[in-house]
Amino acid sequence: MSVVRFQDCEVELRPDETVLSGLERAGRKIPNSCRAGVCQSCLLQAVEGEPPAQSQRGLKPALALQGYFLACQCKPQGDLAVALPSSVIPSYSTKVLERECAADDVVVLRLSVPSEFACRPGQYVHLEIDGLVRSYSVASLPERDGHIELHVRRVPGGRVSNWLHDAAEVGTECILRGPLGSCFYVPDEAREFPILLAGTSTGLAPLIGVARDALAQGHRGPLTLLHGARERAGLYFAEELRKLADTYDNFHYLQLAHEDGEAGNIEAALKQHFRKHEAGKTRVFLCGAPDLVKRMKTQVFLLGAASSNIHSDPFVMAPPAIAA
Amino acid sequence: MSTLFETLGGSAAIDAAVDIFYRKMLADDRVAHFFDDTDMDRQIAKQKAFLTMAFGGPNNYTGKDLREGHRHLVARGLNDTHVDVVIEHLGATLRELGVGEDQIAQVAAIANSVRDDVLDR
Repeated sequence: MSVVRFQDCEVELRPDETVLSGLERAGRKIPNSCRAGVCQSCLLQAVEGEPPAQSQRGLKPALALQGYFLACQCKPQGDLAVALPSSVIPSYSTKVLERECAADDVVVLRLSVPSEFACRPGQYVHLEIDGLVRSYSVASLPERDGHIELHVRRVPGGRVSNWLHDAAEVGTECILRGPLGSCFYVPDEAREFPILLAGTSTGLAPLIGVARDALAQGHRGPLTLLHGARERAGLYFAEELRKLADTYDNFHYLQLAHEDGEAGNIEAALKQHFRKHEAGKTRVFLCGAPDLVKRMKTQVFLLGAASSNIHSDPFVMAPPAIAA
Repeated sequence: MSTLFETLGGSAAIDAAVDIFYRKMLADDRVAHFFDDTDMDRQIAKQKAFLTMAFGGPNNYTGKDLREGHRHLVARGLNDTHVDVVIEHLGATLRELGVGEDQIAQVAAIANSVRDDVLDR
């Protein structure tokens, strides 16, 4: 019989019993709704052991790869240790290796890779500074590049971002937790599907991470990166992205500045993209201001992208410090 | 007797149907505004649960859930005409997937059976 461990309890499952029913029998409350493998509200993560394939049906591949499964569909063969999503966030200590002012309001930090730390570019990490925690997306391939690259935009009144801009120097140590999120590249056999990456400002970080990862893994399909900003000056990393486009024939980079009017309209550019590439096969990654991400999500869905192929990471801002 | 849910292929059928159905809803001005403030991923999950129920599949929907879940929309003017639109798009979705008219009528009947719960009356 399989034994399931969850927090401080151990349950021996009865024949044909699911992880959800077993944990409920043990008095544990697990969020759930349809109990039919459809609504995905009973999502758990296996921290030890392999969840059966049946319990990962319908999950985005990025979640399945991280051991997520549906408790209501899970009748494990062996023992499992499980946790609620996001309750398993390991913590590491890291230090600044390099800092680069990429634009007036953007600093790019390259942090040391703690041993045991592994993540996929496009996932995000928490940085903890003086008890304050902020999330930043990983733009590099830590294993290959030897650093964790984060893009930090200066938020007016933002305590962490201003500290990272003004006080963090090479050698400064901080606490990093993660990785989190499922916004990353998952290859298939042919690696030919179109990839659309669209975002504004430092929403570029996870997008460039996904692009670097896909190209490093030999993706052959077209990758299009749309980078938007209010002003042209905010379109940082342009040189680096043009270089990437020169190196890889299948990588296309478009700059969209709001000050350019219609030529800089990101929604028009999305429409244009789907005239060239089959929407139903395209995997879409969206990142940036929550309102824009929400609008783009609906737009690409209506243009024919499958909901299961749309990945997004809206940036949610912490409330600003109250001025003394 | 097997349910339409099983006949259509279980949760794989739901996955195929949900995008077609939700795209029709979002593209329809009569109902699209009800989804203005919703998160798409969460909405897709809800639509899947709804379709599972409408296809006669296993579900835990209760009249109470449906009442509470839609009360804020009733306050914003949700009425019979909108339920009719849902049933219309449900039928069109199934037609696109090659489902016969008999079974479409069954699905419409299930959806209709929760009308009073959804409209909180």
